Amino acid sequence: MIQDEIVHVAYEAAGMPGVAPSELSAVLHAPTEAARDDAWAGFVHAYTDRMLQIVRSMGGDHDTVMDRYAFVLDHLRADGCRRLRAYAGPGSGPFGLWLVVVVRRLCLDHHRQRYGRSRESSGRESRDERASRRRLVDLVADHVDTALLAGPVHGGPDEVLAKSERERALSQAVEGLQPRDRLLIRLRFAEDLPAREIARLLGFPTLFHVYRRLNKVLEALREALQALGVQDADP
Amino acid sequence: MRTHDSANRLDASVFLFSRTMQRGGIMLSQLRSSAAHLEAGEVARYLAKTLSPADRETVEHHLADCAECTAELVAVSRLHRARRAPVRRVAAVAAAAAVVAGIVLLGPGIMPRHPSSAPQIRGAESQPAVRVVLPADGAVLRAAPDFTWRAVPGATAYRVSVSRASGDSVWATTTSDTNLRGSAHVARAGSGLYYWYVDVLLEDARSIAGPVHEFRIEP
Repeated sequence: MIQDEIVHVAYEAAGMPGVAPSELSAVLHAPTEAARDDAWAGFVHAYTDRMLQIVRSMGGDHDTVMDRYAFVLDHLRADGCRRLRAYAGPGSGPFGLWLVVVVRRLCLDHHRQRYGRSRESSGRESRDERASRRRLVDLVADHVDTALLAGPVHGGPDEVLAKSERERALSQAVEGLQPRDRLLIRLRFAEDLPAREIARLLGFPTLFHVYRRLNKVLEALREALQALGVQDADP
Repeated sequence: MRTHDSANRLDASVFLFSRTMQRGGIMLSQLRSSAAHLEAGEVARYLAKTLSPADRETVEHHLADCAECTAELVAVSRLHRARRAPVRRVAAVAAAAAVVAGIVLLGPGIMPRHPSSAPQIRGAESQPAVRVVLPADGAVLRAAPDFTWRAVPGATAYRVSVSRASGDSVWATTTSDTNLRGSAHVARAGSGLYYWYVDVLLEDARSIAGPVHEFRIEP
């Protein structure tokens, strides 16, 4: 068991394609129902730690966590382990990473089933989105003060119109960026990730490459806004 | 548009199909609808950096416009990294295995609700990041500094990393204390700008990434 784990960790650390671990293969290729029960017990035992870590990361008290964990196990085993059969070896990446994705998605399914699907435009998410937008606007507005974009709407129709036009200009400027740069902006300002984590995710050699790229992208946004006619804060 | 609820149902067929297509010279990137969420395998392969350049670009194109998949990517990356933290929780594994044995044998419907041995572990997200005391962020010094930070509840160790402005690592060490004497490694590296951070290793095998700070050693 420990040797298997070392092999898988080594594969994953080396970025090697996924290899179905022996516990998974035993479940998927069990010749009889009894053998599958045994194999399932072995699989759960091998991955308890990993799965519980994900289940707990979603928060909640002990009862909630255990309900969620039971939901995850139930659905992993449902329909002859249909979800686990979806692991297609190299095409699905390292099994450890793949399992994190699948278990986390099941946790979200459990949450939605229990509490319903949250509406993105309401509550905290919306406030967070506005806060992210405000941070981005503040940075872009070194020369072009577009801070009013994210602010509350006050004043007369002219001011409302000016705000609307600037908001459209910012959206247009962001949409004009390369996808990788848009993702960089999203990770930095929507997900609020530190440069080190962005470097890791996007494959930048160092966090300083992240800073340099961010500066270039923000400068490009400033120029795009000016080209779209946004020159100053006053309408 | 497909939702994550049905993601796993499609994984096998999509990837078998995509592998077949790749053998025939057609890339996954040509099959993706811009509206569809990422498959579990795509997330895993993106994080493992095993996607082809074309597929990686396609995935990044989707991520740039999909808040849900980006949030998932970040969460999975953090969970996976926390899993690989060096601190093991043997006792927790044993307790969890006991709970799972109950689930396997008895079924989730009659699972014990309050096993006394099961630990209560807070998510790393709820933990505060480490707060450094010395050197102050942006400090200008004449010699290699002492490093001091405030203790974090639940921490079993701290991993300290120092790098040059170029990104080259100068010194990395792990300690259970909350201060380190000025390192000969840093002193040998000479004058210039340095970046440093402290990661917190928790007793439940998770870790908290600390913010990056900087200091400068004058010539």
